[in-house]
Amino acid sequence: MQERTFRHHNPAQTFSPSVNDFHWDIDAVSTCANEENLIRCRCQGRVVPRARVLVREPGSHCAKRKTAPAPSEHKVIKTQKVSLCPSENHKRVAPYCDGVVADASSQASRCEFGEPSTMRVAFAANVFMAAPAETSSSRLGSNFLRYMILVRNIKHHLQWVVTLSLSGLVMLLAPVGSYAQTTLGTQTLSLTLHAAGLLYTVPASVTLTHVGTTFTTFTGSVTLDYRARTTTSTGSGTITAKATTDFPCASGGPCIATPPSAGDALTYTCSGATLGASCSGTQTVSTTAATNVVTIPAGACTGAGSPCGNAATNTVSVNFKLTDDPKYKTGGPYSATLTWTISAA
Amino acid sequence: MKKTLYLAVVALLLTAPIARAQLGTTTGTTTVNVTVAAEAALSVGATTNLASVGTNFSSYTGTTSLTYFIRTTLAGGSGFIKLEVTTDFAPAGGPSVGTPPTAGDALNYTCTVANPGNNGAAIPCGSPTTSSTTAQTSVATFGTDNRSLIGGNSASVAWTLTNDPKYKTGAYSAVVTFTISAS
Repeated sequence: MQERTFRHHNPAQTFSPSVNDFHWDIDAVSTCANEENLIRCRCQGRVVPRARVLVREPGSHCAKRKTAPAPSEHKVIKTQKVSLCPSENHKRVAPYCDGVVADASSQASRCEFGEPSTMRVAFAANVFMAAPAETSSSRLGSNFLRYMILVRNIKHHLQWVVTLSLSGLVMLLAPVGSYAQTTLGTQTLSLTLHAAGLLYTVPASVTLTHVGTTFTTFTGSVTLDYRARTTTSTGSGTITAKATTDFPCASGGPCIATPPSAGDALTYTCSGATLGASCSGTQTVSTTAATNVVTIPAGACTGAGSPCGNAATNTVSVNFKLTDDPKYKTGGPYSATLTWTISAA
Repeated sequence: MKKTLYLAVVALLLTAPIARAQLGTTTGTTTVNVTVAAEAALSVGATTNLASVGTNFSSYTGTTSLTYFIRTTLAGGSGFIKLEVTTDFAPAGGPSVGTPPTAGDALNYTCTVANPGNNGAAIPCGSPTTSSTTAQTSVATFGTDNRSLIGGNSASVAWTLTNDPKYKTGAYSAVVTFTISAS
């Protein structure tokens, strides 16, 4: 292949291909940092007799794609206007052709502001020229250009679709203040509030410990957060506890359902309920029945100030004790699961 | 892309104030954990009186009863009960554990120990054992995974004190300290 260097100084200069101008080796490569810039192209390999090229129209800084004429033709037979110029002063037309692998020794021109570029291609054909800031052109592969332009357009469209969708979402979700200019009618809004009760902070675990090594009772505490609303006059609510999973009794440690020794038990007391009454006395945890923690009266509600007069969230402390029976085998931790349940009517 | 990101942030800021997270539930669970380790404890009467039968210098005798609680480790555990005369007889002129008035004068004891009620076997002291003011002496030893009853198990120490004519008449007392340990 013969290598030629082209440098262009006449902005309006164009070349018409000749019969001998179709042995091109140019790669279609996009190497511009800004995708808006013209894509440089090098095509390598074989002859591409009908490669598309970019031709800058006389007097314009934007490129138009043109199909390279057939060997027997000496004029442009098809054009497609392509706007690739975000900035008129930063456009540089690069040659495209139907892509084939580039010759490693070829160099495409760079997309630079206002400077003529030089492209060396290993080909024996002429190139179509562009304006002064353009590279020396050669016959270009149009498919690659079409693909890149299509990708860019799709991307732009998608961005606007997302933008518009988000705008619509903002409109739907954001509170909108409107001012009625004309009274069209009235409507009565009615609301029925039902009794409700919910647990909030429930500790995931508690570890029972004791002081010394003389079989003192194991102890531990938890605090529950809850909110409740009970029916006026006739309502009520409760918080209860139940062992839904026992200690592994077969392991020889503590056991709720079948205590190792008479008198062994996991018990608790309640204190400090800020809504309702704490359980009275010592409660023995059971695996078969729920035991009381808090009793909530009728017409009660959670909230600071009137009409509830307590707090944004109510709390109660539960203090556990577990017998330290010498019969327990050493080991652990032995674990049991307590389930707390709140209800309101 | 930047426009998209900005709008997303604006949408988030506008919608955040009106969001109300409802995290309450009607039930909740808590796991209760406990680790069981080796432990030991005992209780012993405050006073044991030694008495002699007759008036012919028969030895003074008496029994100290105690209740022990023990749990030794499931594997490789052990335990013991020991005693030591931490305060010798006083006032002077009567019996003495540290410096017997006459060679052969001694405060000796034998042991009776019930086996741990939930598992294991107690090994009582060898009979008789001479008490000391300078070292602990054995009452019982325990092996691996020995576990007493929740109400404890019984043990006793039967004392024998030489009735040496050399003792001056009077009332004398000493303090014996019992120690139990488990691992």
